[in-house]
Amino acid sequence: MKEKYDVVVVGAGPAGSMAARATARGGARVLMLDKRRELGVPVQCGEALNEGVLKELKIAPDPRWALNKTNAVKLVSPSGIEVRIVEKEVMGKIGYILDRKIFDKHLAILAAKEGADVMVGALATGLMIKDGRVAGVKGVGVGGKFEFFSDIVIAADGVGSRVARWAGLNTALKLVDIESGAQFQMVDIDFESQTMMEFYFGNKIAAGGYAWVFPKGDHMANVGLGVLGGRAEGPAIDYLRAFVEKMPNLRKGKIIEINAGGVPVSGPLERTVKDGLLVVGDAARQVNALTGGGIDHAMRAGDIAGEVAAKAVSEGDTSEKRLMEYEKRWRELMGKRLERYLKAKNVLVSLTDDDLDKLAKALSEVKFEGISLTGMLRVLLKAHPKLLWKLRGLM
Amino acid sequence: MRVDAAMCILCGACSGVCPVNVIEVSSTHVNIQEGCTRCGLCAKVCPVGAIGFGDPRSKRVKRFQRRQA
Ligand SMILES: Cc1cc2nc3c(=O)[nH]c(=O)nc-3n(C[C@H](O)[C@H](O)[C@H](O)COP(=O)(O)OP(=O)(O)OC[C@H]3O[C@@H](n4cnc5c(N)ncnc54)[C@H](O)[C@@H]3O)c2cc1C
Ligand code: SF4
Ligand code: SF4
Repeated sequence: MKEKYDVVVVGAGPAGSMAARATARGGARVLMLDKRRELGVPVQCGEALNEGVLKELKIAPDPRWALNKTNAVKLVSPSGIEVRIVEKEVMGKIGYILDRKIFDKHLAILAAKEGADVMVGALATGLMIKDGRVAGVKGVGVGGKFEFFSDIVIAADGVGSRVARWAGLNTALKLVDIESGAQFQMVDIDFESQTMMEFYFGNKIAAGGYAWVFPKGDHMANVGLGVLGGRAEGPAIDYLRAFVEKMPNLRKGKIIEINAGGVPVSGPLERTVKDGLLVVGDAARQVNALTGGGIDHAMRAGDIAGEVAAKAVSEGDTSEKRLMEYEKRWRELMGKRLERYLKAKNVLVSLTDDDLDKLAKALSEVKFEGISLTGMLRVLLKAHPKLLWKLRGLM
Repeated sequence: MRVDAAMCILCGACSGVCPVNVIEVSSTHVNIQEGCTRCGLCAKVCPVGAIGFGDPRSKRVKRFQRRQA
C-alpha cells in the first residue's frame, strides 16, 4: 500500500469494482477501499441482473455466482389477478439471479487482477481537502487510522452516500425518494417455476412498492419487498412478515438469511462530478426507480468513471471541467432510460389498489406476442380511459 | 437517536436520508455523530425499526404485542 495514489475508490460494490478495474486498465495507480471485512456481506439486494451488462463489460457468467436463469415474469394485482409475460416475446431478455456474496468478490478480484490495490475493513471517515479541492481520503480500519492522498476520489459508497457530501454535493434523499426494503432468503418453499420472477403489487402488501419472489434454485428463493418511505406504516420487515404469512406456498418455508436496505428512487443526482471527485452507482442515485434495480447501472457508470479518471490523471487535469466527460457519457448511455423509469414509478405509486386491479385485468387479456410496450399501453388505455390521465406520463 | 445493535442490519439507509450527514455506519455499528437535529427521518426509513427516539427494542415489542392481540 502506498501513501499516494492517482485515484482512490471508496466502496467495493459493483460500481466501485468496475471503476477500479477501468482505472487500473487505463494505467493509473488506484486503491479501492471498503469498510466491509468481507466484500458482498451483508447482502442488500434481490440479486436479479440482466445478462446484457455482463456481455457489455465482458464478464463471463460463472455458475458460482450466476445461480439461476430467468426468462419470465408474473405480475400479481392486489386482488390476485395474474399477468404472465415470457420475456422472450416482449423484450428478448434473460436474467440471472446472483449470489452477490460471490459476485461482488468476483468483481473486486477482476479489479485487483487488472492492477488495483484493495483494502478491506477500511472505513472512510472524511476527505482530505487541499486548497479547497478534494485531495484524498482518510479513515480508520482494521489496521488503525489511515490517510491516502490522491488526485481523484471516486465515491462508490452506495445508498448511505457520505463521501460526495463531504465534497459539498448534497446527496441526502427525501423520505419519498427512498424505498425501504427487506428480504428473506427462504428454503423449503414452492413456486410456479424456477425460471419465473414473481412480483406482487398492492398498497397493503407493499405501500408504494412491490413484493418479489426470485427463485434461486430448488425450492429456494429471495422473498422480499420494498415500501416507499413516508408511505409505509411501519418498518419494511413487518410488511414482509405479513406477506409471507399470507402466502400458503411461503408460510411453511424456513428463513436462512435476513437482508435489508434502502433503494434510492429519486432519479440520478443533478451533478455527479466536482474537482477531483466522481460519484457512481447508488451514491449517484443511478437506479431504475421503477424496479429498484441498480447493479447494472452501477457497473456501467463505474466503468465509464474509471476510464475517464485514468485519462484525466494521465493528462494532468483532474478538474471538474475535465471530469464532465464522465457525466456526459453516462447520461448519454442511461440518462433518458432512468428518466423514463422515474416517470413510470411516479405513475405506479399514484395508482390505487382498484386501479392496479383494473390494469391487471386489461393486461391479462392482451396477447403479448409481437406487441411492443407502447402497443400494450394503448390497449390498456382503450380498455380504461379513466386511467388515461394517470398513465399519460408513460406515453 | 438510539440504535439497537442487536436489531440493526447495517444497511446504511438511515445515513442516506440524514439531512445533516451525521450517521456513520461502520462494519459493526451505527454511530450518530454530533449535530443530530432529531428530525426522525432515519427512524422512518429503517427497514427493521432498529433506530429511534428512546429504546427501539421496547417500542418494537409493544407494537408486536399490540398486533398479536
Ligand atoms: C432490498 C434490496 C433489493 C435490491 N434488489 C436488486 C435487484 O434485484 N437487482 C438490482 O439490480 N439491484 C437491486 N438492488 C439495488 C442494488 O443492490 C444496488 O443498486 C447496488 O448494490 C449498487 O451498487 P453500488 O456499488 O453503487 O453500491 P453498493 O453495492 O451498496 O456498494 C457500496 C459499498 O461501499 C461501501 N462503503 C459505504 N460507505 C463506506 C465508507 N464510508 N468507507 C468505506 N466503504 C464504504 C459499502 O460497504 C459497500 O460495499 C436492491 C437493493 C435493495 C436494498
Ligand atoms: S437503517 Fe436501520 S438497519 Fe439500516 S443501518 Fe440504519 S439503523 Fe441499521
Ligand atoms: S434524527 Fe435526523 S438528524 Fe438525527 S440522525 Fe436521524 S436523520 Fe440525522
